[in-house]
Amino acid sequence: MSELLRLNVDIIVVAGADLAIQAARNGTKTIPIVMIGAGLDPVRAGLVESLAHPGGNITGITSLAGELVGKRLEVLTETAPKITRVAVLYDGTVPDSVFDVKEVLPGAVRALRLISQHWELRTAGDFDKAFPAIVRWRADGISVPRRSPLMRNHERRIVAFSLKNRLPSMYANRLSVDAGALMSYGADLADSYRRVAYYVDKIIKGAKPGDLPIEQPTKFELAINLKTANQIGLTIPPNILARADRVIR
Amino acid sequence: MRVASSLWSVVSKTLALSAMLFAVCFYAQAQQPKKITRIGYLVAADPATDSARSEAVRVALRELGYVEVKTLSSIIDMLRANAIATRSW
Repeated sequence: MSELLRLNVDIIVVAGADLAIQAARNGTKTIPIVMIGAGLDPVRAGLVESLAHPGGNITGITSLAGELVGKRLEVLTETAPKITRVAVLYDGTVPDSVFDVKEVLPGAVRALRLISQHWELRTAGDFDKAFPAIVRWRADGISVPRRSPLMRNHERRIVAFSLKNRLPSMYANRLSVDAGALMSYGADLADSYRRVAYYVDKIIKGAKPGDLPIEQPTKFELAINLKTANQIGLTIPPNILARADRVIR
Repeated sequence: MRVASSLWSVVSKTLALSAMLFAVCFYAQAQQPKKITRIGYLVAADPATDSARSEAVRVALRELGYVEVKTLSSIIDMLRANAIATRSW
């Protein structure tokens, strides 16, 4: 961040990580910042006054990660209707992940008549402890609501664990599906990235970022890995497959 | 977390063409607060993961009439190396 400030940039585009957005915000209160695909709620995080009128120097696009917690569980259980016990793995160092699990998840679980148990992960060692505990708890589904750097770094371990134990899994980002996860449902980030140009254009033409409303994604994508489905012996229902935007065969 | 930064400089095609075609107006052009905009790009992903996304931003900017004047590749490389070496958020 400090490198960019030394280069006298006019606009900063910050992509895809809540901590990077926080860092940009901490680095400057004057240079316009356009954020993309952040999972955090920018109002709750104290970055902006409101979505409609951000104030300050930040605007851009959120990813609705929290709002999709329930939707992901719904799609997971539609795909694998036998699921009753969902193990939720989340990054305890990301405040919004903690918020999702503590505040959003319980209502979603109740609505779908599921039982859930969550495992807070902060270090590599936490994964070593979580996996056998999830087996002991007799989970029959896995949910990873946010793809934080920690979760990304250990994604292949979670995927391998899910395959070994034949557990259907739901993630937030299609890149996880590329890495072998069963499925993901989330904002179409490519669409959000294209939308960044709109904000940059407006700011170049004199608009204040604080006057440009923060947008929420309008396009969502469902990704399914059929190789993984085959490996865990799961048949994806045709109506789910028909809704998929990306299918890995 | 890997953090890569890069820098793009874009210029409005409209402004650039105006400067060429209407030389007598260069003074007025000079009154423009900025012709070239430097865009810093901060991303918490490895370059391979991010390349398609950052390209989407560039393509969308081109569609709005902006021309990429230069991408400071040496600076990008330096920034990436520096960011990967020093950042640990």
